[in-house]
Amino acid sequence: MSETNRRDFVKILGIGSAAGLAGCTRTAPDTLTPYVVPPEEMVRGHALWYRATCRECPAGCGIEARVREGRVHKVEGNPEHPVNGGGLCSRGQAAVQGLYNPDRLRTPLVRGAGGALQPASWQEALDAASALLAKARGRKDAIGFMTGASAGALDDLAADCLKAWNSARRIRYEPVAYDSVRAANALCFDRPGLPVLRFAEARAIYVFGADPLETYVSPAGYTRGITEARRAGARMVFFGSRLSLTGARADEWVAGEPGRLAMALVRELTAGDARFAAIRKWAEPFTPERAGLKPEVAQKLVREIRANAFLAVAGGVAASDLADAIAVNLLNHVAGAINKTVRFDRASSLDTVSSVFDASGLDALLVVDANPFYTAPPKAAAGGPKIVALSSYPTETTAAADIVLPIHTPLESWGDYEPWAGIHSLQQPAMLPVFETRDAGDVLLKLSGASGEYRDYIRARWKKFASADFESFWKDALKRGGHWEDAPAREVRLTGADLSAQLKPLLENASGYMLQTYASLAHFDGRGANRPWLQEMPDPLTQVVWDSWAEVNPDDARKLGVKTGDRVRLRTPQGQLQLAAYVYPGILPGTVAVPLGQGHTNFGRYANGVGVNAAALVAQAPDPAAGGVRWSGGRVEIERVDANGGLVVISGHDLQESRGIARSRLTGAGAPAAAEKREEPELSIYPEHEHKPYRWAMAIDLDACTGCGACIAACYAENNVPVVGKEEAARGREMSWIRLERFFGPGETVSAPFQVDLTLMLCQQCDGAPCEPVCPVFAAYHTQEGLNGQIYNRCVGTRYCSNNCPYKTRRFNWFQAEWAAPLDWQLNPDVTARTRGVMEKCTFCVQRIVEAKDRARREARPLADGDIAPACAQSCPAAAIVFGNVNDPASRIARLQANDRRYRALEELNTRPAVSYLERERRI
Amino acid sequence: MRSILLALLAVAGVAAAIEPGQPINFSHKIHAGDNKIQCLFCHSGARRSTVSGIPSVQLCMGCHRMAAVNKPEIARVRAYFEKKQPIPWTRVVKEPDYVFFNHSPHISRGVRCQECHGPVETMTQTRLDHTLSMNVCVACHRQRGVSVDCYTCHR
Repeated sequence: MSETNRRDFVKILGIGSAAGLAGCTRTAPDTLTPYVVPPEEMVRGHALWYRATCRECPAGCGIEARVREGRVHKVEGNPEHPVNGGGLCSRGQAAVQGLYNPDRLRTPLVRGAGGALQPASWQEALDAASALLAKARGRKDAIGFMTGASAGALDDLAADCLKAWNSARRIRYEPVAYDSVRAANALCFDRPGLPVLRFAEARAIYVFGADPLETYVSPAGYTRGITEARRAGARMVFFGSRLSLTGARADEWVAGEPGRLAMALVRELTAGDARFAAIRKWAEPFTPERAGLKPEVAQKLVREIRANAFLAVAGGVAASDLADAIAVNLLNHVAGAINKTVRFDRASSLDTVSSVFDASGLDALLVVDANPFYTAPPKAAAGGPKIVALSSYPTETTAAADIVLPIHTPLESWGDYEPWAGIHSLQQPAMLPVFETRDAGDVLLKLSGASGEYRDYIRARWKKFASADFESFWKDALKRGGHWEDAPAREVRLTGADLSAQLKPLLENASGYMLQTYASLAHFDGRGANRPWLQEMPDPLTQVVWDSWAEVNPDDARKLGVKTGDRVRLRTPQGQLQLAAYVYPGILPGTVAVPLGQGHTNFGRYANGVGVNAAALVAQAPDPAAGGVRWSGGRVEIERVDANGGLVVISGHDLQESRGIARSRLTGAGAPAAAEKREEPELSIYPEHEHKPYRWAMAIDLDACTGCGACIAACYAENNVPVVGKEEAARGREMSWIRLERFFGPGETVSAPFQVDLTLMLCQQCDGAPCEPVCPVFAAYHTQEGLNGQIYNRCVGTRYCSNNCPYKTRRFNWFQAEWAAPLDWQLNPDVTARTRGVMEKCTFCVQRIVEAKDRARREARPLADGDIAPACAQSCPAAAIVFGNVNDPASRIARLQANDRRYRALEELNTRPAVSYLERERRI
Repeated sequence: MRSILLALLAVAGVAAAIEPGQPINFSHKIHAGDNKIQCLFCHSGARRSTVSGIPSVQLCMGCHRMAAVNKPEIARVRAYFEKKQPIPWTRVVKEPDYVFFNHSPHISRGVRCQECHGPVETMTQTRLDHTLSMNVCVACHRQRGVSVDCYTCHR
């Protein structure tokens, strides 16, 4: 055998690998499968959009589902919809992760002889359900029909079903039901429903413990209204014991008990006013001192209320007492807001729901797309009703059911929903079912013994809305997303009933710690917990991922010997929980706050065992005053257990250290003059970049941004951003291209009075980008249009770019990203799914830029301002993000860059970013 | 030693032309060459979409209900159509998944299909006998003064 010397060996190695590479580029032949008969309208490579209704919470926002090659990839807001007008929150964005959830139910389940749920065929399961219902039908009112908020065809169908089943036991269960607000409106105005809140018309918005920017009734719509009001100069004040995200976005936080504060304002407003003599008498004991309101603050607020269009909002999970809601009603009344900004023109779909339910005396309970046993676990006692659950996912309720029927998710179903009377929002399937599930409507029609399909049932119901030809009306309605009717103005008057007894509880002082639960921004009442994006997106205020926590005031924490991350035990008469503590300066001493929505036991791999279920601390029984669950206000004992809370807080630092990253300024009468604008000279030793014909740039209005995180979820969806899980997130390896930065003070200490500054940090697309010159392989480079390009197939993973980025917005793929099937069906075919060892970052959604340019070229027109909206800008319910071409002086972005609130982050580094921010205003 | 090198080079050389077998002996020469059917008649996606598209079996049958009905290959096409089955064509041209090639701007600017796909109208069996490497793309883009920004094709 001839000896192979080193030189020959290297040669062979080289040629061998060249041959291997040739084999790589010419991959093994694969099959191209054409259609036999192509579907109408579909062109491969082109997206189709289907309008529908979001059912991730009861708000009923309009959505558009983007479909490519028969699969839904992304959900966006429907700009024509009266509820949300184009924006969509993070929970709505995550609907696709419900659709493709790997833990979805795939077959019907029937409880077998051994007591365990066994897979069954559809025929077997439907036969079993029919037999169960036939047996129960013999006795009157022995069958219960439970849904969540469900105004529309499903409600009609439920009534038909119950009629066929000889029962009248209709249950509409929502854990967050706003019972106190509705009860207060019944007492005060004889209208047992939620008001229509016209935020956009108000100039003084007072929020009492509610969270209209997070989960309250219709957050995407309210965010839009509040932003509109702010742009017109409105001021927002938050009253409450815990600074929620809504509170953090308010101009002023008046800390205290919301009901007492409202009554103190009522007292001051009615002083010496003969029109309100009775109310003044009820308000007499509520002196500002008793509410903890400084007299000069009270006087200032009173002046503001008198001078401006006023709107006060109360209720929700964090302030669920009847007295709070009554106090705010009285405040709205004496401030003249009723029938103006607070109206009762339209009934809400939530007017008929309840946060408690009664299943006693039932032989069978049909639960359609609700999960009552997560919040209110079934009593252990035997002899409860047999349960038939129609659900898309395994839930705590399906675990307790006797028959489980897997149904389509909303994106696969026909349906309609009427969130507010007269706003008929349609749902149509955006794609064929992912699994062998069925439309809940079709199953119910079958079980009720009716014939036909649910789609025809809905169409028959909709005939009454059509004025002329139904087919063209129906087509238009599907295209528009629904049918909107005007609502005649309906005035209400104060009933004049004596409310002093109902206000009494506000005068009581209790000792010990008060428990405040609140609906989670990410998971709401728990129904979003199986969406991995929502688990991985940090809570905006605490920056915690994949967990629950108990917020404790720093003074209390000192007394209890608790630090952030320690494990604490919370105990109430209802139960006890162990969870991590989070020391939060935005909560009053004596209050402990816990978010709802985690701690699932049967909700799939992303939810099970993550955090704790705060509902276990709260009596799931009607509060005698409001008639619903009293989520907050009860007493709780807290003690430290150990240091092993296992909390993952992903923010690096709580303070800005005077670096001016998230800036705000005081405005209004008495505000100090704005500081002299510091203009950093733009210097470069390199030749200037010539950006033509476009120079893309973004402006983020921090005065509009609420920190809700809709942009983050939209970015995950649009750009195939992987989810890494709690363990890797703890190592700082989360992949989100947008970071919501939260600071507790602009300087070196926590600010007093406490304030929270929020900003979005994403790739700043610098003109003088530090990432570009350090890349040894030109994977990071400057494009002609001013983007910091990142070419994945060129990247070799040195991570130099990330090390050199002062904004720390680049993300490295430490592992091969995995999408549990069929979550991978959601991946955007226009964006590369990155491999291990590759750096990635925000691209300004370059695929959308290219797509818009192509479209303009096809239509033989120049690109217009507003043609391109990156996913973040598109989704923003507050329209806080503006994107465009700064080379065009007439563009919105060019005008915003001339705004005097404009600044750029870390400007002193001379990176000359294309992302600018508009300072937040704190109006005094 | 030399013989090993030559053998390796030969293996590498074979990979240059791809001429896979197809389920039906479809001839572009008969369709596009002899009968002068426009490429876009069957690959209509190229005009307005990223992908040119493989014609549906229905489109084949649109002509072959009448044309050449007695040919054995057409009988096979008909069998697919009648059984409502797609024809499992073997792919000839494939770009790596990090390349986002878009047909429509090329077609709308008058780039002829043959410039990338070769003289398909002369082929009785479709093959690709040159490399569609990035070099080819960039050379053409340079020559025509079109953007060679990386983001044009990679994102």
